[in-house]
Amino acid sequence: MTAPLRVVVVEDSTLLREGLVRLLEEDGIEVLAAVGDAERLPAIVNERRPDVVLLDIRLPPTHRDEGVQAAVALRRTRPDVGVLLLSQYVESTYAGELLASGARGVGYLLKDRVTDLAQLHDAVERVAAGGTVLDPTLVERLLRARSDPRLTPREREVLALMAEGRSNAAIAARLVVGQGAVEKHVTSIFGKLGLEESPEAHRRVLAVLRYLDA
Amino acid sequence: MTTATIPAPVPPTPVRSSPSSPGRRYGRMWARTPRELGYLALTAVIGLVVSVVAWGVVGAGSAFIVLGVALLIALMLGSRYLGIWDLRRLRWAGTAPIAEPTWDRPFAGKRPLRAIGDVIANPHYWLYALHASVVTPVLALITFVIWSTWLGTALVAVTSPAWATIRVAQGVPLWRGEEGGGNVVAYLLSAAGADRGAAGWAIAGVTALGLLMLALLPFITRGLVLAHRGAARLLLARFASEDLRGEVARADAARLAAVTAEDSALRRLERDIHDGPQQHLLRLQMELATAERRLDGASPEAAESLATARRLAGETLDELRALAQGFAPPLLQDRGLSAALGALGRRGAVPVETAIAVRGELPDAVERSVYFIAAELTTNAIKHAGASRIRLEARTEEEPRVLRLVVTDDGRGGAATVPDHGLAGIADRVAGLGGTLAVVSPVGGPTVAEVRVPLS
Repeated sequence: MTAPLRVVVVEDSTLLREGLVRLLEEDGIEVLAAVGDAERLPAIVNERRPDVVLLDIRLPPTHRDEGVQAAVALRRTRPDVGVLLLSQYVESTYAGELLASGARGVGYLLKDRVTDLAQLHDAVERVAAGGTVLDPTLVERLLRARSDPRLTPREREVLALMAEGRSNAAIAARLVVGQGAVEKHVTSIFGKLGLEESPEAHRRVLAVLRYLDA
Repeated sequence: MTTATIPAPVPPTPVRSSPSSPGRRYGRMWARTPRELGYLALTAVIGLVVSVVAWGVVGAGSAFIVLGVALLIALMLGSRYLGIWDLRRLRWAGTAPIAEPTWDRPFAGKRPLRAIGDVIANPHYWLYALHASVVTPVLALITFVIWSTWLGTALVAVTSPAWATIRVAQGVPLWRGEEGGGNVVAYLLSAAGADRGAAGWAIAGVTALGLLMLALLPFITRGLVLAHRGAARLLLARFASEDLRGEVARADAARLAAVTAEDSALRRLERDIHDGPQQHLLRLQMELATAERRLDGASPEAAESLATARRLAGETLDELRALAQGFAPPLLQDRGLSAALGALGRRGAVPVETAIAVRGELPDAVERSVYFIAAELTTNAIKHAGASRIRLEARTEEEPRVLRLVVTDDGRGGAATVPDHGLAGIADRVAGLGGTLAVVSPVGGPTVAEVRVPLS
């Protein structure tokens, strides 16, 4: 068994902070610190070296978008630490900013998702491993809104799963098709969005970003 | 002739035509000098005199203007206080109060010229001046003659037995022809003459007349005061338009207060839902998830119940989220109008081009209303006009400070003719902000909707 994942929780509501800590510990994830605001976050991260920071968006002092700002700042100073934004609502603007700050090891999920132990574990693990996790609601909304006429319905499905940060194998399993078919779709998506030149992993993120930015 | 030595004929000039040497030329110059001096001297005098006169005229004229303006302002300000005093005295005299105009302090915080201009531009000052300097003097003279004659005559008549007795006691004739004027009492007494019996009747008649006049005095004074009041009402009262303006200002303030109150209530509600029920539901879901895990397959029925409970909590959360999004979008709360409009552009089912240049702070209520106006306009463009491209433009303009929102689409147009187009709701929102909505939507498109909201 590998070493347990180590996280820091930033959540201003005591009720949710306690609940989240208990869920994480229940799941065998080590909570290094759980605080109510992002003020001391850089110091805590430097001191405790977590794998992932779980951040609420509305934090003191103004309860607006302090969490997003803290996440972007943290990405700049410590790109090796994963950031998982947790919020009661999803905003594509915030997702775009988070992804633009470096699309490796970031996530943005509705808090509802992490009440499910399996999903919480999955999300933290993927962000810790450098993956990108986007809330399905967000992806679905973006894809519905941006019904790009160039993409086929199947390609849109594939892009949605890509945006959630899933690998080709995971997408193939989800869609019950072969991995080769998924690869074909992915190549087609890259072509249609004009992303042929970049290395594969990076292109996946760019494809999502392009959708967010369009 | 010397001209023969000159190769070509030259037109004669004074200098060239005469034989000249430097000495002669100098001599001729001296010959002109006295006249030149004379000219210069006179010119100097004329110049001096004209300049003195001209400047004197200008100076005196400006002095008159300055003095004139000062006197005019003094007259107007004096009339104002006199008029106000008149209104007080009229009320004191028991007449119904007359509403005063809304006065400002003429010189408070203004440059003198501006203050003078304001006084001169205010019609009330002119009316008050007219009242004080023309109407009141004339009217007062007339009313004075009436009431003083009436009262004097009445008093003399009423007291006629007394002074008749005194005269008789002193042995003075009751009436001497040379005394008196057009007084009715004097007339009656003189008509009675020396006849004692007739005089007695005359005095009795005069007394009765005096009593009658005294009895009628309140009507006279009342009538005269009402005449003054009539003049005052005509010249000193506030205008109906001022009341109207006041009402408009009050209605404006009330409307804005209502919009602001609605905005802050809805924003607070969103925060309360976010911090209250949503968090409890989330915590509830966490507890249920923990319970599910601890059950660890011991009772599939119980696990199913727990899963259902968790799903219900999740659906309630979704509903609460949709509700909050409907009245106070979180991004608008967190980031303000520009960010929210930008997200609106990205969220649309068709491409929305946004051009947003909103500078400076906007009132929260304006931000929220304008956001929903923009959202409804874009929804309309997609739903009713079948647009495939939309342009959303929002910018602030200065002098006067307004927020201008323009939504253009390439749809089929004819917006005004479509019932339930949603334009009525938008117009209501715009009206709530004291703004204007202009929709140009020819059949066949394109539709341009422009909203202007005042910010000051």
